[in-house]
Amino acid sequence: MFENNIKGHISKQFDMELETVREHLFKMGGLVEKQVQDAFTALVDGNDKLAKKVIKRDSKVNALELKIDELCTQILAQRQPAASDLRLIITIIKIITDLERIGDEAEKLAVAAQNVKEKHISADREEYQYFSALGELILEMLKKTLDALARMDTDDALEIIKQENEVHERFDELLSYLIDCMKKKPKTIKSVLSITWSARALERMGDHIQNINEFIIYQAKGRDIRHLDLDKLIATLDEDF
Amino acid sequence: MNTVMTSENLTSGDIVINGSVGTPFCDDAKMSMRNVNVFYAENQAIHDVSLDLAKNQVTALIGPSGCGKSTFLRCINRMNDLIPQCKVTGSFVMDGAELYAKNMDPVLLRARVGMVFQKPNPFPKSIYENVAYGPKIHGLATSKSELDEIVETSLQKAGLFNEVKDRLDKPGTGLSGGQQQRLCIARTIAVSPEVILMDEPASALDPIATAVIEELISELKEKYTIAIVTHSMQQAARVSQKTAYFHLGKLVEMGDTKQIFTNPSHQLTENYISGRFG
Repeated sequence: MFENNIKGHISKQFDMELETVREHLFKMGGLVEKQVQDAFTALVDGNDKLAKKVIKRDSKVNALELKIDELCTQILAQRQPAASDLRLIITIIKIITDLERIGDEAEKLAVAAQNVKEKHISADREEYQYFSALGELILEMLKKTLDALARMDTDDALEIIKQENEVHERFDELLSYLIDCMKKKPKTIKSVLSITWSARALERMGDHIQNINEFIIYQAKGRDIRHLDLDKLIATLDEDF
Repeated sequence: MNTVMTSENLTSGDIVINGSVGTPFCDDAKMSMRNVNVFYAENQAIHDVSLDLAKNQVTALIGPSGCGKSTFLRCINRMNDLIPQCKVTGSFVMDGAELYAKNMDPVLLRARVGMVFQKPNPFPKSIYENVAYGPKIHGLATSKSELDEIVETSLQKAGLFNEVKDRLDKPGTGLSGGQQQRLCIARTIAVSPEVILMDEPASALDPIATAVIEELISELKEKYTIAIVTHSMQQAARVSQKTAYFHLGKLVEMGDTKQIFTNPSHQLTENYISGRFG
């Protein structure tokens, strides 16, 4: 559990400082999840009001990133953390960058939602099933990632990492369909391109989610598994799991 | 040479210390200690510790007060011989020679394995005499000019020469704490040791003098094998290549310093270096 990673120091003040960082991190995670959910809904429903809310709220995500960075800098300067404490601070500093970028991608979806004049991804249209399949997968992965982070659960983190291919498959499916659309109905190119950019934003969220899970494993196991292909990654972790 | 003791499993809270983890041995060992036990009368201070000091590397011995790290360090140049009721068993080998062999002269050994203590302890003599004393008694210089050269070289290696070259005849005790400690290091170097043992060499110094000593340690390792006992975890992390964690007289974990401070294997090491040790 995350709690176990921050408690038990001789200095209770240090415990409290880590607890403060944890609270801010979870607040940021919750906010980013809401941003992605609302941006997706705004785009699918063509809800301009909701899209505006998402765009406005992005500044709150940015402010939390700055605040957590400041708290972590203070801890590095004053506590010189070592071992799991050091890995925790490094992990948080890295994770909040990815969370902030997921927030930026959500903002892109919201901007796209504002730009469309009609509900071009509505449920009665065929592209909906492809787009929602990708969006729902990303939302599910983000939610599971935040849960894995709260529990520092490396098994769950690994399972989410394994879903990376699924994201690319669904993105490719959507892309093939959209290319077909553009070929068959050149008049739809403008609106189809808008969906393409939105799908790209979702795919990038998937990349950031993978980064977060890699750092959950780094924190818990002390193994840096970035840039390993899946087979090598699993072989590396098999030594520990 | 001596009887090997098998110590009982010691526990700390719920955690059993059963043998050490990590990599206490290396291929290029300058010194190899095996199955070391130390007793003060009936009390056992060190339990079956085995480790190597890698050649031209700095090995940090860390652990809470009373864990036996200083006791272990003092065994390496037989300083514990001077303590009545202290009994040392096990094997201490340097370059193939057993340090506790009957034909090993402890005075000559201490010239080969020098020691720097927590509190700077210059002799109440001039700066020059402090450094010249060892080479004189060991007959390392045949002329005054040769002795002058040893003194100058030793002070230079200790990074002190430029600060004291105009007052070599002044008392060593008149120097600042950091300078006195570097004088003691120069005094140790003057007899051309192979190994330097340091027992909290910077704990009585301010941060600037500490940084100077730490920089010096990094330079000295090019020529000497160094073991340092320190209570400052950051210092161990900065100056050493290998770290050994002692707890209740046992070696709990030893490994590369980089690994110990980012990803220790043993829970007790983790607890100690992250400030969770009660």
